[in-house]
Amino acid sequence: MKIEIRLFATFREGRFKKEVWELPEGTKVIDVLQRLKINPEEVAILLVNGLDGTPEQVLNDGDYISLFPPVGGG
Amino acid sequence: MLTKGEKNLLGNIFRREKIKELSLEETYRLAQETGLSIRSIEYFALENGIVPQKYVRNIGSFTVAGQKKLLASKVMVVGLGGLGGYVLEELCRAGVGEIVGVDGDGFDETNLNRQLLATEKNIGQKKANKARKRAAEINQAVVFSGFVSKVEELPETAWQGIELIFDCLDNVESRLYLEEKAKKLGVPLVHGAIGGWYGQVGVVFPGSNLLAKIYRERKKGIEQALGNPPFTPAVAASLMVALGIKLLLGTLEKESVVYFFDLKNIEFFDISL
Repeated sequence: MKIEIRLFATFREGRFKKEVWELPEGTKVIDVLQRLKINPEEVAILLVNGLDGTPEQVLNDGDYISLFPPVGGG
Repeated sequence: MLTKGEKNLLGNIFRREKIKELSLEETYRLAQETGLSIRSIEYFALENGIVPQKYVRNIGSFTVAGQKKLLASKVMVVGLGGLGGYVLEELCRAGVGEIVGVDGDGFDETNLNRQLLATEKNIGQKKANKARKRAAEINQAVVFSGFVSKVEELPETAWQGIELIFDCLDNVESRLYLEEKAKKLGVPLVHGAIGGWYGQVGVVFPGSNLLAKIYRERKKGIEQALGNPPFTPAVAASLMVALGIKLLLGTLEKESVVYFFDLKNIEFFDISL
């Protein structure tokens, strides 16, 4: 199945902005994070198809994941 | 905002002197003559379709009724640093009538690159005190109360009558405290946060627990590594004030929202949580 991965802000550094990956059925968001070498704790906003998602969520063909790092300054 | 007697008093003066415009000078004179506050006089004028000169350029974007609503509004700005300095500035110029400003800190040299209220001369002074001076310089109609205090240590009275809170804080712990407090008070929170070229703003309606979701790991943000350059707080603060004014005017949908912006790539995202 095809999954699109969209990275934002600092997650793009040394990676990419947007890529489509071919992944086996049953892949979870956490598997994608591991391949990206992103610790789930580093992710502030995790969206699957633009809606609030979780690392344990199982992905479906055509899904897209968006990852945002935390910003906390004022 | 005005008693019947005060309305009659002002009404008589406005009729007798055929006041059709309200300049600063005129307002000061009326305040002196009647003993009423600048804010009350401006409010009376707006009520009678006269727009004080200082707000003329707001009209068209706000209606006269909207301007009157802003002048009657009471908001709180928590944090008077990078975000809070600009938020305060814009609220005063917009004519939001009552502002409670909260910050326990004083200025240090690392604030100079981005904090509107920080100058080389006021290093060491309390941010809330400078905020009071700034508000008075910009708009005498604004009733500003400053608290040199952490938000967690504010007296209960500080929260009285607050309709809307701006989260201009710089740490996750206090942000989560503020979200809980706003929920208890049943008041919406306009959130803003920055880190490097990036920022996020949003509106938190009571019970949506948006900040608890975003900051669930209670970790520091990317600002720890990227710092906070001068332009990012100004952008975030302006978006916050636009959202806040829409809330006060009742023209924003009652839906919790977050927007993330990236000034490095000039991108803007609307996020549903």
